[in-house]
Amino acid sequence: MNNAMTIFISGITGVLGGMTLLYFSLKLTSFITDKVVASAAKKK
Amino acid sequence: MFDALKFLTTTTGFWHLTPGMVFMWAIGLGLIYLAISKQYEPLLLLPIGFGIILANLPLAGLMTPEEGLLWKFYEYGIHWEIIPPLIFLGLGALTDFGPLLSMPSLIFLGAAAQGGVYLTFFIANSVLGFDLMESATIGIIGGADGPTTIFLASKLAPHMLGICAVAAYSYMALVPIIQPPVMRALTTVKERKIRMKKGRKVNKLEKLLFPIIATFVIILIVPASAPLISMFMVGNLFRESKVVERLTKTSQEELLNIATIFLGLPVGATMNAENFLQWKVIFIFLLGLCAFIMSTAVGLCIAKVMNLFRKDKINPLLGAAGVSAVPMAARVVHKVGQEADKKNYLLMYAMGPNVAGVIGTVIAAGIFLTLLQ
Repeated sequence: MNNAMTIFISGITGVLGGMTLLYFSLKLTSFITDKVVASAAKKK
Repeated sequence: MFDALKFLTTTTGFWHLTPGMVFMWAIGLGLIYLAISKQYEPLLLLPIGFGIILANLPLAGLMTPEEGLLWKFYEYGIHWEIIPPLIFLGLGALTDFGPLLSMPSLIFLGAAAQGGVYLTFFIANSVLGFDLMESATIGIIGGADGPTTIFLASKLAPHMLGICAVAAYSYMALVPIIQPPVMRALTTVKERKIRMKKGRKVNKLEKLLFPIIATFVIILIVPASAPLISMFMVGNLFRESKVVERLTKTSQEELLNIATIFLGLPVGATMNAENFLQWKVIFIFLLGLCAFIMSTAVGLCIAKVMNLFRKDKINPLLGAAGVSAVPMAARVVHKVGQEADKKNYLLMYAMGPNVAGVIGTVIAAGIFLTLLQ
């Protein structure tokens, strides 16, 4: 496998992997913040 | 007396003028014309065009190493990685991640559009024989992000910085012409009519936490992207915190404008006749166009693939908005969507993948830097 192919595969994998991790981080954050906002609203 | 006159004549610029320099003046004037008359990305193409003219005036010495004014702007602004991150600080302060946060799955369309970057990289190296660093610099044009293109070029292929920047900004201005034929070719009228389901409501806490979390996640994965992502996210944090309005306003306006001036002039000044007047420049422009088209096409295709697994279908046109020409690509998606259904308002949905594309392009550039530097 030549260098260009290695970089091609690494690059695509890296971008997809990075964005996937960011996606799950955002999902977790939105889950937690929705709970926080909901409990703050309940207290009021 | 005659000797004195002869000496005076030979010290003028006219004596040292070459046809190549005159040709570069025409290029510079052409860019200035496009910027002013056609309003093609005037904020960058106007100073770039003028910078080209200045760099091709003989004996002016503006790009003389260690001495020239524009050389100092280039060395201490771009080569030292100061100006592109400051541009990103301003862009972060202008960006609203709300549309992305309301429908996080659209982040994958921002990732998909980077497929064109890597495909072009592969073609440039394997088919056309550009070396790996040059190929990466050409490929990143497909990300449609000027500061990232300039940042990567300054590190991997400085001799191509001006050419790639002009290509990137020119194609960004031509997005309304380049993208629609690709969008119509790869989608059916029925698909273009798909109405998006309303996204979830995004609370303020989430918008505040996004820049902090994104900084951690992205820089831990791709540390080489830190200069751009850190500034992008701190600008966004200024905006979302709502407690530093002065800093936000300065970042969005004065800082961004000053950085834009100091970016455009030296970028143009790197385009001297020796660097530009080569046959491979034509291939660079063609590959840059290819990168744009492939990024659009891959984004559209991935959107269609996502629909195979989704109950609530997304309009596949949103895939084209993954090309990070913000907000132009989102507007084009909205316009093409309205051709199929006048009451289909896609603009806010398209902003999601549009801003995700900015992050995707920076990650793509960071990976190139990691593997090639």
